[in-house]
Parts: sequence; structure tokens; C-alpha cells
Amino acid sequence: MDAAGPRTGRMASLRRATFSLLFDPARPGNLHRFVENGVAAVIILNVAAIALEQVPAIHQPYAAWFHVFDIASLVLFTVEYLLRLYVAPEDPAFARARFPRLGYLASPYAMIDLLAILPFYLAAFVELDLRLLRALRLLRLFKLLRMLVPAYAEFRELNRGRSFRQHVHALVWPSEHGGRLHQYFDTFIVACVLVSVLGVVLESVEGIHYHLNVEFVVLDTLSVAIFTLEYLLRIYSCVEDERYRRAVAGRLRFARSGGAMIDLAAVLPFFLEAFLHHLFDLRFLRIFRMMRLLKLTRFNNATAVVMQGIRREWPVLTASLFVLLLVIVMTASLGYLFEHASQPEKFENIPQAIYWAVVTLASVGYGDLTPVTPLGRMFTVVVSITGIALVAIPSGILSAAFIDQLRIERETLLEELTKALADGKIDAAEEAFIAAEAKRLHVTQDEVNRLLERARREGKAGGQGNGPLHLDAAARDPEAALEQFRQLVSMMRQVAIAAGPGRLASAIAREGAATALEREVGRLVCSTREDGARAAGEPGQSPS
Amino acid sequence: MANEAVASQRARGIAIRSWDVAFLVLAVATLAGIAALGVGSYRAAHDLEQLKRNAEHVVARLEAIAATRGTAAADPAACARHAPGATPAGWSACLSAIRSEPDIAAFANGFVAGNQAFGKACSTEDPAARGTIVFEKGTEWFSAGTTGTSFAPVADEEAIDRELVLRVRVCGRWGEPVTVREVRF
Repeated sequence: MDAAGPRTGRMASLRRATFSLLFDPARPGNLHRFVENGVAAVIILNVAAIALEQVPAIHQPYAAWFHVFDIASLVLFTVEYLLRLYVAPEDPAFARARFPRLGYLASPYAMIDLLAILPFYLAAFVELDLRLLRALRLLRLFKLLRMLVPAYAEFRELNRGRSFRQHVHALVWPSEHGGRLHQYFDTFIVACVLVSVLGVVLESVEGIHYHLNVEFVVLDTLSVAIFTLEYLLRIYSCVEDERYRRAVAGRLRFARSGGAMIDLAAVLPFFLEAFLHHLFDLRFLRIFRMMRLLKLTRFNNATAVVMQGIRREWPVLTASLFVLLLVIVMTASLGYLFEHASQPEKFENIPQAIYWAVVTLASVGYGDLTPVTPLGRMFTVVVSITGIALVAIPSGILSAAFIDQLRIERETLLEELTKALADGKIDAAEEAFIAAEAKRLHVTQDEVNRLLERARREGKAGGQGNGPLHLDAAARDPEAALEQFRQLVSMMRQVAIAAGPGRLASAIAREGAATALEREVGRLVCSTREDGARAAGEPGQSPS
Repeated sequence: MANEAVASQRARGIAIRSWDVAFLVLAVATLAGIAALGVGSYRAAHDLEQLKRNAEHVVARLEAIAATRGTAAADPAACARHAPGATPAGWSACLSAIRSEPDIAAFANGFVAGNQAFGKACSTEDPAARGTIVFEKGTEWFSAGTTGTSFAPVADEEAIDRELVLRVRVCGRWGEPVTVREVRF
């Protein structure tokens, strides 16, 4: 009994640790989310594998790989099932039951988990139809309910008492009412975009299109159905946003926005081709299905940052493009002048020479049009060298605009942090806002911590004022007053070092130049120049 | 009073108004419309698959004929290579003989009921080309160090006393060409 006691204790401890590490949603920082997302990804891959297995052209050459994947999934799901059974006594949902593991086995999720794996073990003993087995594998899809049901419950809770339209808004737009269900919605749309675009890309490969023509048609119809529904949901619920408040005018305004136009462009080719095919051959519109890729810009801030940067630098950018345009036209004209007589068929006119000018200025040099006259060649040398600099100007402006925009946004984040710290602490709403902003700006947690420290320091000194004096903060908080005092002393030392302590002391000592207090302070500041130099961190500026 | 209204709404769950119902009806109608269009596209794709299977059958037959048409046992005889000096056989006669074989003669145009099962060339301008199987003759070319093969419709009078590179294509729903296979005949 004595020996069994510690062993039982160790087992319970291991079980608790396993639950806490892998399955406890209440413990932050554990692997629960990783396990949940990993299992969901394998479920989705299983469904994709089942769909692909129906295509003989894919299944036959890779049948062994499909089988290996199936076995690996089965092993993974079995391990998950057994682990959940093992840790059931630690799960608050079953811990109070007389027999926690039996309670787990009788739960709907456990039954779904069992259904996902049992047919394959039964097949080892009982003769089962292969098609039935494949169909039963679709049951694995129900395992996603383990994620979706709690997310839906959370969503209902977050939207209690709100209207249907507000529910729709919370589902499709980022807000504090969206919760995990909104995240899953976003993930689903991103996955649909990627699969749809992959379909468009593969469709252009003749060999693949030949074998998967029907599958591509089904995929495109499903994609259009999903994206159209998403578009309608966004149009319908956009009036919950302050910017699009009015029922008709607001929705029209939203429909004219960049994001809505992209959403429309993602589905329009399907409808145009379906309704107007008897008038025109509109198959060329299919390539515009690639526009669906632009839908991803909604889920990534990088494009917005670039666009803001371009908007800010637009006058400079247009000026540089104008100069570039002038140079292209002038180069083409001179190229035509020098080469037309020798190569009338190649430099037939100035518009034709523009192609040569652009290719030369951009340093591409295809070589299909080359000057043959000495003047033309000499001119090409000059154009090629100047072209490098000229073409680089707009790209330089663009990259500088992008970096500047990022810097501005990070400074804004710093200001937000300083504001959030004004009361000395960051509440849950502020923390959520900071986390969202940090994610939007691609700022790492380390950088947020660094900015937070800087904001705390500046906040302690009284905020981000333009000068060293923040009398309100000093009157409110002695710590802030002390911090400002330190900064002022440091600044006085820097003044002494910059002026030279001897010269400053002489200036102060001049008759009528300073009060008695100023002379006393000056004496102290000038006598500690070594310390001052160290404090200012500018040893190179020490007077000599 | 306002609190009572909120409490009542909370008790009811999601509050659905008439505009919400109208939106739901619109959304369902749109999805139904897409489904109907999708079914149409699926049927067309299915018909194209059937057409491709027919064309593959023809390709298999051409390959079988190609294996024997240089011998005395050539079947059909209209596709045989003639001895040097004899009058060369024409493609038209050979194709007619192949088309008259029972399993191939049973082919029907799945896209347009009145259209033939075989055609001359695919064209998005010509409705009669939709749903047909066409044959193109390959001609090898050499230019500036590169080689390639260009294809053009096989003329009826094309001599078949030598090996031909044939490309078998089908014309889709809008007359667009879909290559099935190339065969040395």
C-alpha cells in the first residue's frame, strides 16, 4: 500500500500534466491550441484525400501514398482518442462523474472520435466494402465539431441580445463580438481563396485540366457560391459600421470600396460567362479568377501599409514618373533620329522606338532592337547609364514610403501605449487593442515589450511632450517630478560639456550675467564634467 | 422600459426582423441560382468527358490500325499503305472506313443534337463544330536552331502512304479545342 501510494500519485501527476499540456483550454501557453489546430488540419487533409481518391488519374499512381497517409491519420486519431480517455479524470467536464472515463466514452465528442477510427479496426476482422470504408472516413469531418461547437457557444454569448444583422457583422467583420468563430470564418475564407487560386493555376496545365475537368468545374462553382455568400453577408451587415450607417447609401458606399470591388471581381467572371456566353466568347474572363488572390489583402495589413505609403508619397511619385516619361519619349525620339535611316524596319517610327527606349532604360536589353550607327551606340551608352538611376527613383520612393509608413504606425502604437499607461496600468481592453495593433503592424512581442518599456519611461517623465517640463505630471506624481529633475540635470551637464566647462564657468562668473543660485548651480555642473560626459554618453565631445 | 425590452430580446435569442428574412431569402435564391448554373456546367463537363472517352477510343483504334497498315493484313483496307508506285490511299476514305465501324458509328454529338460526331476543325465561331472530334496533321519545322511541330486540319485528299503524325482533338461546349492525344499513324 505504501509502495502503491506514491506510484498512484506519480501517475495522477503525469495524467494532470498531460491534460494540462495538451488539452486544457483554460491554461494559457500550453499546446492545446496547437493540438486542436493540428487535428483540424489533418481532418481537412483527410477530406481532401478522400476527394482526390475519387479521381483515378490521381489515385492510381499514388495509391500507396494515399494508404500511408490514411494509416498515419488513423494512428494520430487513435492516439488522440486514447490520450483523451486517459486524461478524462482531469477534465472538468467528466471529473465529477463517478466513472470519469465512462462519462467521457458516453460523450458525443468521444463517440464521434470513435466512429472516425472504429470502422478501420473492424475491417481487420469483418469483410467491409471499400467504398463504405471511404464513406465512413468522411465521419472524421464531424471531429471539427469539437472546435466549432465551443466557438459557436462563445459567439452566442458574445452576441447575446444583439440583432441578426449584428450577428452577421460579428461573424464576417473583425470586432470584439466575433470571438473564435470569426477567426474560423476568416481561416475558412483564406483556405477557400488558396484552394480556388491553386485550382485556377493547375487548370492552366493542359495535362491536369484534361484529367480533372469535372473536378475543376465543381471546385469553381463551390468557390463562387462561398464567395458570393460572403459578399452578400458583407454588403448586408456593413451598415453596422459607422462609416456605412445608411441603409442604401451606406451599402452603395461600401460596394464602391476597394475590398468590396475585389470581392465582386472574384465572382463576376462566373456570372458574366454564364449569362452572356451566347453573345460573346467570355472564356478569357476566367483568368480574372486570379483576382481572388487579392481577397487575401483583407487579412493582411501589408498591402494597406504600402497603399498608405503610396498615397502619402503620391506627389513625389508622380513627379518622378513624369520625369521618367519625359526621358523615355526623348530617348525614343533621339533613337529614332539616329537609327531610322539605317534600320527603317526596326526604328520605323517613334512609338516603335519607345519599346527600345524602355527596354534600354530599364537595363533589360532583350537585344531584338539594337542600334547600329556610331551615334546611336554612343547615345545608348549614355542612356543605359542614366537609365539605372532614373528607373531606380520610383522604386526608391516606394520602398522609402513603405518603411516610413511602418515607422509612423509604430510611433502611433507607442503613443497608444503611452496613453494606455497614463493611469499606470493596462486593462484587458487596452491589452486586446495593443495585441491587435501589434499583430496588424507585424510587431513582435519583444518589440511590444521594448515599446512598452519606453512608453513607461516617457510616461513616468510626464508623457511625450515637446520639452522637458510637464508640470501637471510633476504636481501629480513625485516620481514624475524626480524623473524630470534628473533629465534637467542631465541636460545641464550636456550644455556644460558642449560649451566647455571653463568657458561656461567664465561666462557665468561675468558681472551681472547670472543670479547667485545660477552661479552656484553652474559651479556644480562645471565641476562634474567627467561625470557629465559619462552621463551624456558622449565621451567624444569632452572638452579639451 | 428599455431594460425590459433588452431583457425580452435576450430571452428570445437572436432577434430576426423582416429585412433579415428578406436578406435570407435573397441569399438562398442566389445560392440556388449558382447551384443551377453549376449543374449546367457540370453536365457540360460530363458531356465533354464522354466526348474525350469517345476520342480516346478512336485514338486506340488508330494505333491498332497503324500497327498493321503497312502489312497485307491491314484492316480496314482503306487505311493500308499502298506499295510504291500504286495510287496512294486518301485520308477521307480511311476515316470513312473507321467511322463505319459499329462502335464508332454509334458515337453521337453530346453537345448539339444535330451536329456530326466528327468535324474538320474546332472553331468558337462555328456552332457546327461544337462537340465534334477532329484530326490534325503535324508537320515538323526547323528554324533558327529550334524545331517544332505545327498542326493543321487533315485534308480529305491527304495521302496516307507514309507515316502521319495525327493530333486528335475534341471541340468543347463553345467550340474550344481540347487535345486528346498525338498518334503516329
